[in-house]
Amino acid sequence: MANERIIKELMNPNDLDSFSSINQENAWLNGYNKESYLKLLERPIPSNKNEEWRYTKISEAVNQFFLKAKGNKTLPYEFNDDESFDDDIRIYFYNGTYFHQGELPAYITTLKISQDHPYFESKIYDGNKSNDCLINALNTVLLTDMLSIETKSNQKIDKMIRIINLSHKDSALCPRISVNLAKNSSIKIFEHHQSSESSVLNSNIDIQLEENSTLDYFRLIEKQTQSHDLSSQKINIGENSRVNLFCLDSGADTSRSNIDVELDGDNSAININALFTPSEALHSGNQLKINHNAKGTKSSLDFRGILDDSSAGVFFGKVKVHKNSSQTTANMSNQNLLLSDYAKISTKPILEIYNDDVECSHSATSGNLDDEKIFYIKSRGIDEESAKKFLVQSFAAKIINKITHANMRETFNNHLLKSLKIN
Amino acid sequence: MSAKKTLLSIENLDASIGDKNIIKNLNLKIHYGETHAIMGPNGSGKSTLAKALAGHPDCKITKGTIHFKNIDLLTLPVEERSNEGLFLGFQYPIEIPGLSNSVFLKAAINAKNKYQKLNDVSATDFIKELKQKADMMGINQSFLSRGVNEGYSGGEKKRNEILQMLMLKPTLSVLDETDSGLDIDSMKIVSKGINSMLGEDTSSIVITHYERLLKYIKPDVVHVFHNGRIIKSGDYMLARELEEKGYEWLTNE
Repeated sequence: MANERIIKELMNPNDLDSFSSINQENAWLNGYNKESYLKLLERPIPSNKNEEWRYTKISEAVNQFFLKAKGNKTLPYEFNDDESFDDDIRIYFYNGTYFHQGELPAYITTLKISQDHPYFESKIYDGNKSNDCLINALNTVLLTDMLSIETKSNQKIDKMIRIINLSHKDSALCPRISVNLAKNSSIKIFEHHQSSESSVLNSNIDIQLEENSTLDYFRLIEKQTQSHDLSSQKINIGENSRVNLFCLDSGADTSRSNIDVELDGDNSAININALFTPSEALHSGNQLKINHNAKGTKSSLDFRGILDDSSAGVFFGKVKVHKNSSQTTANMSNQNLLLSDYAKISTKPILEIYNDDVECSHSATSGNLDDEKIFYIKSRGIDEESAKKFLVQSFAAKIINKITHANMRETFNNHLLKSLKIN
Repeated sequence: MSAKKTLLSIENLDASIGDKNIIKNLNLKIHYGETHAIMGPNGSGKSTLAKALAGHPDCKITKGTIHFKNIDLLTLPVEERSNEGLFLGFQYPIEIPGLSNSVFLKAAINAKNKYQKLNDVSATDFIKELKQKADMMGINQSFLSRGVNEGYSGGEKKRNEILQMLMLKPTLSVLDETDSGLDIDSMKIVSKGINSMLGEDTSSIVITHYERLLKYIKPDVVHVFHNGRIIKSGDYMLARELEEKGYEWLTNE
């Protein structure tokens, strides 16, 4: 296949030795890297005939991934003083390594390959077993460090855990995070992909919640220039537990997020509120697969796209209610605002229901700014450009206002305004 | 008393929406300090006149002139008409979820101030005035931080239009069926708001189907619209006569 040829041409098996040589003392990890790489060679890179990848130029992203991986070089990172004014815990991912200032609380560990391998190995194994997607396989090829967040029973953590991915020019980065919440615990995570140039970021997070726990999870992907941002979020939710996920994605050459949620425990719930705001010729792809596997489970997906210039957006959402999942509630909505005649959106909300006792809805709309609203605002003395900005902001506010955490609401709003070029 | 100054002068106006010519050779003059009521059956062109004045993009002027404060109104974009002091109270106020009333109003006032080369309104002065006028219009404080007209009842939307008018202090208010869908209490509140604006330096055009609102506002002139032009003008008594007899005796003539 053509795409296999791309990988083979870029990386013959001798090259593999050269990039895995960074992990020489850790033969077992090399094994995983290699295994994943060899598996990739066998697996066709999905073409645009594949429904799930139709609007995502994945072969180009894979191509760039290996090109950058070969050129990865070590650069020192200098802490910026104004990065740590607040009380949040900050962890950086740079050059394939997690690092931080000061001491980390006991529930967070940065697993170092040389020290923690039996544990690390079991995590990788669990993660790969449950996640067989292309993004995960690519991540494993370059995997070196892992961040592990594990709460104890009844542990409620108020501090925000900020995980900041710093890509430098011409790099390929593969952060990997594992999150385990024990019974009755709660945490907040803020994953931030800073804007970068000419890089490929492939992030993987594997989340498990036991009973009665809550995760507030914020993902912010700043605008990427000549870069690709691929991510896989695998979430398993136990009884009476809940995940609230907020995303803002300002787009990349290829930006692709795969969210896979298993509502495994009775009365478990997932809320996802997301904005994607690509401009110029950028892309933002959102794929969701939600499985209702137990009784009384709830899913609520609200995705809003604001697309400018010649950008392209994709929403592909599939909610499946299994046979024994009675009293399920599932709502899925994708609304899109097209600010230019050249912007494109592809939206596909799918419900697959095998139980009668359910309450489900799905909707998708796409349109331009409403002329009557523009006229109303202008009739109060406000010029056309400002009127349009007000309307775009008011469209996004429906998502932003759902963020109850005040600092996060402000952070997301500021990044949104920056992305929409509104001061 | 010296000769009255003209605020608005419409001459030989033709206006169409789509391919349909709706306003036909309309002439109307309004002086400072006057309140004019425009009545008439459905489809007679009353709302089209409001749209023509405010500059709605669907409304095309094919003939004639409109002068407002001696400025050729038709050359001004929508927002400048407002900044010059023309206010349109919408028949169907638009909902803008997510844009708060107070943010919207403050932006509108500052746009007008900027146009008139004045400084921005101070935050405290603005809030003080907004609260006082919201009280007067019977609008709950909590509405001010909610989206513009978001989830408002019909009456609340109309009272909100009058609140915007009071805050923007226009020279000419064009109120398009502000009284439709109002209960008696709301009608009184809305009339109070309109009356508080009346003075020697302001004028208004009140478009309505009913005499009810005019009882509270007492217009100086009542016009009857039919087929896109004025077929009869009179004083307040004309409105009462219309209430009793309907329009047919005029439109059949």
